[in-house]
Amino acid sequence: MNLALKIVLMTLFLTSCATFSNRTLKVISFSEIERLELGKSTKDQVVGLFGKPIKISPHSEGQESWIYDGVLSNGAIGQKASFSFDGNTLVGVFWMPYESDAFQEVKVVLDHFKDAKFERKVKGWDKQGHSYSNDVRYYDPEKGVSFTTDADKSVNWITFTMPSVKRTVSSDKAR
Amino acid sequence: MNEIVQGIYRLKESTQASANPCANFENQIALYDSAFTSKQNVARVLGHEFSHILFRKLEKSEQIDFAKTAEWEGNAWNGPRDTDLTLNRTGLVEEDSQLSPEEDFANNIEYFLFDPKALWEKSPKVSDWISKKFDDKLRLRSVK
Repeated sequence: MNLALKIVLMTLFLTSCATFSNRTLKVISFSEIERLELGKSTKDQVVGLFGKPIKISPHSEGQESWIYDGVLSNGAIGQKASFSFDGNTLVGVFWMPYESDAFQEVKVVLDHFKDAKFERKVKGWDKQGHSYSNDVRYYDPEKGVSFTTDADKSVNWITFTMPSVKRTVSSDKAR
Repeated sequence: MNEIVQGIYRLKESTQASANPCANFENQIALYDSAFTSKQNVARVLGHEFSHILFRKLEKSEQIDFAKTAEWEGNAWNGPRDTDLTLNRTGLVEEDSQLSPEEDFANNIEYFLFDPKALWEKSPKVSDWISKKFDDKLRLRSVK
């Protein structure tokens, strides 16, 4: 069964914001991310939750990513989340836990997705065979959930993508 | 850096890719025979490898800050991917900078040390970030 991210539209909700220079950056929490539903949520709904993106990156064939920033512990601004759209439909979410986020802990993420069946893979050597990475990727293709860790010390980011569809090959009909 | 690098080894050839003059694994560096030919600058090769280790020692917030400046973006699309990060910056000192923020960082540091003019021309924002981040701590020194 696919993991369904139910959207709950709220007319009134509390938001927390960080102010940096003349911009107010909204804090994007993981619980707010999970209010969205891949394949259904729209751009207006994302704007309703998080405001307008800091940047829109177009990709091929009508797809684009909306980039949202956050304030890092050292005061700099870095990417916090991105939402990928195919047309007007949300098809992917990328979210980065910062130092203060509970979801930076691997155990917390694994406990949260306790029903997921993750495939675990160490990144290993790059394509050139030049540099070895201890980054670990956990991926559940049926639920479309993945997260990457820094040698399982902390979570780098969590992504949601459209779950892969199981294809069944029908057998040839008897002749 | 000498407190971070755990070993530098001279080896014959990479089993991953025979043309590689060097490689890094965790905090260890391997220099292959090809690094000592006239085509390579060993000091520059070492500088690049040190930069890999330096990147891993940065705080996560610093890595994110670099990636942001260097125009890396995280995205999620359907299907399994080797990486969720893509590089939007077009001014690259080396093509393989696109492999990862770490490789991008290592290339940029290498050029900052050995060919700063080229780095400034290709990626001025990155050059500026490195300069501000490390100030005068990142300099080449001769050893007698």
